[in-house]
Order: sequence, then structure tokens, then C-alpha cells
Amino acid sequence: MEKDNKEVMIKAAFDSINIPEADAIKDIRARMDKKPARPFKRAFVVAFMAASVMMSVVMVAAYYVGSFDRLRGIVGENIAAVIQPARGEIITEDGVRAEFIATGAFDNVVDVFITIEDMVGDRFSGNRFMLSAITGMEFNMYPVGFEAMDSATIFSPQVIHNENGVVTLHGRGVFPFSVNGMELNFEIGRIYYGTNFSRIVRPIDLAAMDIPIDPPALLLDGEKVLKPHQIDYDFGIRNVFEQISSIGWVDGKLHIQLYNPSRSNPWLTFVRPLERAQGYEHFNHLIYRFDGIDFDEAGNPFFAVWQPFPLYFEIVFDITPEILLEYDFHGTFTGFEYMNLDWYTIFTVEANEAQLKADGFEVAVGSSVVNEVIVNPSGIRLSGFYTSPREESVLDNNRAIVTGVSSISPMETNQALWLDISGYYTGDRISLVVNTTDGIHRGVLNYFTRDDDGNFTHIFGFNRFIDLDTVVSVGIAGRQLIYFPAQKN
Amino acid sequence: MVDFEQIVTTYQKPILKYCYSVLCDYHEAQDAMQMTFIKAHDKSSTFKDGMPLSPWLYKIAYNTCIDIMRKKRFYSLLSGREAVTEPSCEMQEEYMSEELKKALMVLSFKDRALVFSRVIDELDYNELAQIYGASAAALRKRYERAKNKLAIALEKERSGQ
Repeated sequence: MEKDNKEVMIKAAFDSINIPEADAIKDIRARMDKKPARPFKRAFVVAFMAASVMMSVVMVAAYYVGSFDRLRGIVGENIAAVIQPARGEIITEDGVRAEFIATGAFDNVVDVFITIEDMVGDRFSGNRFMLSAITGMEFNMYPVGFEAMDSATIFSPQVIHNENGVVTLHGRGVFPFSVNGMELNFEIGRIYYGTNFSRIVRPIDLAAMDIPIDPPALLLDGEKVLKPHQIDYDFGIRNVFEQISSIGWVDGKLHIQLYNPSRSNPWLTFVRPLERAQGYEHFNHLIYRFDGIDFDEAGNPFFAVWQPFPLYFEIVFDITPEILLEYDFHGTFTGFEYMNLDWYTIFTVEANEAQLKADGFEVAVGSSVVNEVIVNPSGIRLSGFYTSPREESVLDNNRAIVTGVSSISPMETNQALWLDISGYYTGDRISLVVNTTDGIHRGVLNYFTRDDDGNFTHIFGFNRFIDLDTVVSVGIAGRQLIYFPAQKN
Repeated sequence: MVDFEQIVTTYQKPILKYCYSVLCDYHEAQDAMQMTFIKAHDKSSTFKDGMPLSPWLYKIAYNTCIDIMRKKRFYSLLSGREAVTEPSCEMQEEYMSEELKKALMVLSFKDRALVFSRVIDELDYNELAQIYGASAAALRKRYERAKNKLAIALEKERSGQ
């Protein structure tokens, strides 16, 4: 490989790393041959331990069954029938008892029920709550965020019961894929409470309460769910990781089918639909991981290129064609340049590429662009990205040049912040993606509209990314139109 | 697959150096290197004869490094501390020059991995694509950006700015 000057300099720098000579084979062999822990030899010790454990189990089981019964009274038999008792309790140093009561998982919906009790006062009355959670899929290092605010992995549960100082919370995470057959666990690091989350909230450390969630068995998949006659839009397969393979309405619901030819790439998808249920409105972030993780015989995770994830996934939106006619629907399966190990989103758009270039934009429409689904195309669309520090929002004659998105979370502010910004403008709406390019991996996709005076009005934040290496986004623009029941055809 | 010990002997130093450059922590790099070979050994049945060994090993090493980073972040989150997303490149063993250490700070660990693979291991973009799960074209663009960034940082460090 012929090197340019920079590469020569870099090579020289790397060559200066002077690690000592060592023979690793012994250590590796030792680790491979590591023997399991020696079992107890003394029978009476074993018997004592077994008896103790059994007693504990019986006591704990009785305790949790009691909690579950209380929950059953709160949520009713219908819901109780589809959730399972969970076990997990912690009493914090400041006198808060938190308990996992139940979990449920089916298709792409995961529910958790938690009670928190203030054992020394009444700190929770009238408050709202946020939970910071780490939900593991397959194993627990991969955060799956149920997010409701623009920082960390936090989601907002519903208060479904509050009596005698015991608050029962219900959190729901909705995945854009079925969790059936997967191993899930759900860990909560903190509960935040406060009356107004734009102000100070108080955290309760829960030392990562952790419960397993047992989804039902894996459904067979791997074949297209949408039948040919139901496919309204069918997209050609390109040589990319994954793409929208088809989209259509089935029984009045919008199905988006994703094709994952490699079955192996660690992709994540965040979707932030607006859900309205039971009069309670919250945002969910969905993260979709096309994983390449396998496990070795010892149960250690292993990244695999042969991971047999299904070729097709399907996301179902409870949204009618009539509603969509009023809006644009963007399935922005942008290359989102995990592919580049970086973070700029590229919109496919039938953009005015020449104009963008003429205006000095770096237009990136090419092989890495995957798909955009345009159900109701209208207006001008631009694609491309450029890099800019934060600036004021600008609208320039139907072109989105918007920065200054406020939701960039400053968790790691020690690095220079550069933003790659994608934007497109469609009629009365401007859509943005902001991504950092320095490894922070954060971005915000917001939808805006203009009011009668031509001022921009924020409609809703759509997407946000946190420190994840592989992301692709699926977006829906519009009003309260997305509800995510998992539904297989 | 050829003899395991021979593979370890051949690749232990390059892999260790790679992990060290990515993680900026010598002890973690050692751990990553060992785990890489253990995983390779455990998964050797899936290795197809005729496949180039090097990208396969580097992919394992890269993912192992990611695992280590995620574990750190995960445990940071659990303990309520600020999440760790990048190696700090501080508190190092003295196997890496100060200027390189500081210059590497400007890159994400993924960029470090990419630059190292390209410059030191001289892998072509198709091989890099196998390791990093990205298209060759995208990696080329990414590499160019990271390379320039690192070169500038190195120059700055050397000039003492």
C-alpha cells in the first residue's frame, strides 16, 4: 500500500508503540482450561445450604405472589393474565423500597410493573417519575432505551396506582421487532421523581435492579409476511445492509417490512413514535438491533458474521392510508453511516442535488443511501449533509439549513462537537437529523412546521441517538399517528 | 484452520498492538487479545478454510474491544457514574508515546481501529469492510476523515501547540 505523508507519519507514531515481547499462549491456555469452582465436599454443608435456600425461596415466593396479587387487583384480570410475577426488590439507603412486581413481553411490547414506596415520608405524592433503564437483549450490555426525555436512557412510566405512599408504575417499551424467543432482562438504575422534569429532579439509586423477562417462544420467521398482493411498494434489493423491502397496508395497518440480507450487522434503529393511550401521552424510542451476536458454549457473547437473524422483519403501524394522505411518510432508511463507523445520516431524496452542490453543500447520495419511502410525496426534497458547528436555525428558501438543536446531550462534552446535519423541507415541514461525528454519537431528528405567520413551530421531536455505533432511523412525520401494536399478519 | 498455537504466536503481538491502540489501556488490551484468541478457538469450526485469517481475527478483536468498552459503560451506568464512552487514554503503561496518546484522543475508538487497520495492517477496504461491517466506499470516506484528523492532532502534539 502506497502511503501518503500523513499515513507515513501515523505509521511512524503507531510503530513507536513498544509493547514488550510476551508469550500469550500460556495465559490463553490457562484461561481456556480454567476449571469450574470446586463443589462443596461436605454433605452437611450442602444440606444446610439447600435447606436455607429452599426456605428463602418459599418466603420470597410468598412475598412476591402477594405483591402480584395486589397488582392483579389494580390492573385487572385481563392484563394480569398476560404478565408474569417478577422478583426484585431493593431498599435504598434513603428509605425507598422499590420492587419489581411483574413483567410481560409479547411480540414487540415489553411491560414492566414496579412499585416504589417511601418508607420514611411522603416524597412521591404529586410527582411524576422517570426511570433510567438498561434493558438487555440477548445480554445486558446493549441498552435498549425507552426514552421519554432528551438525556440518557430514560423512560417515563405511567402511575397506575398511588395509595398509602406506594406508587405503582407501569412502563412499556415497544420494539420494532418481536422479542419473542429472545432473552431479555430489564435493569433499572435509577428512578427520578419530580413535579417538573425541566427542573430539578431527584434520583433514587436502585443499584440496578435486574429482572429477567420471558417472552414467549420465538415465532418462525424468515419469510415475507406481506403477501405480494398486499405490497403497495416493493423496493429493489440493493447491496446494502438492510433496507425497506416492502410497505403496504394490511387490515388497515401500515406494514413496513425490512430486509436484512446480511443478517449479521449490528444495527440499531431508533424510532420515536408518539403514542396516545389511555389519555396518557408519551414518546417511545425504539431501538432495533440487527445483531451479530452469538454465544459460545460457555455462554460468552461472540460477535458473529453468521448470526441467523431473519431475513425479514416487519414493523406495523396502526395508521390508515387516509391519515397518511395528510402527511408525508418518511421511511428514512438512511445509510446512517454506521457503515462508516460514523454518524451522519443521509437522506435518500430525489433531491435537487445539483443545486445543493452549487450552494456548497456536500451532497452524499450514493451507494450508501438505502431507501426512502414516500407515500405522499410533495414539495421539494433535499438530501445531503454538511458539517457545521451549532448555529442559529436558518431557513433558506425551502431549504433546511438548521442547526442549534437543543437536545444534544452534553454527557461527554470533552470532545469537540461537530454536527452533521441533514435536512429536508417538504411543503410546510422541515425535518432534520443532527449527528455528531466525533464518536459521541448523538443526534436529534425533529420535525418542524410553520405557523400562519411563517414561523417555525416544533411539532415533535422524533429521534435521538445515544452513543451507539450502529444506527439507522425510521421516521414517521405527522401528528399523533403512531401506535405500535406488534402484529403479525 | 492451522494450528492454534501457531496462530497465537503469529498474531499475538499485532492483535495486542491493535487492541492497545484501540483501547488505550494496556491491561485491557491484553485481556482483549487473549479473549480474541479464545473466541477464535471456540469458533474455529465456523472458520472456513480458504478464508483469510487476518480479517477474521481482527473482526473478533474489534468486537472484543467493543465489548470491553460496553462493559465499562454498562457498569458505569449501573454505578450511577457518568457513562464511559471512550477510553480515556490516561493512566497508561509507558508503551505509547505521550504525543500519540494525546493525538489518539481526538479519535473515537472505532476510528482508531480503522486507522490502525489501514495504516499498520495495510488491509484493503474490502478486508476492512469484513471487519467493520461497512461498505468499502463508506470506510474509505471514514478513513480519510479519521486519518486527517489524527495527522493534524499528531502535528499539533509535535509542535507543542
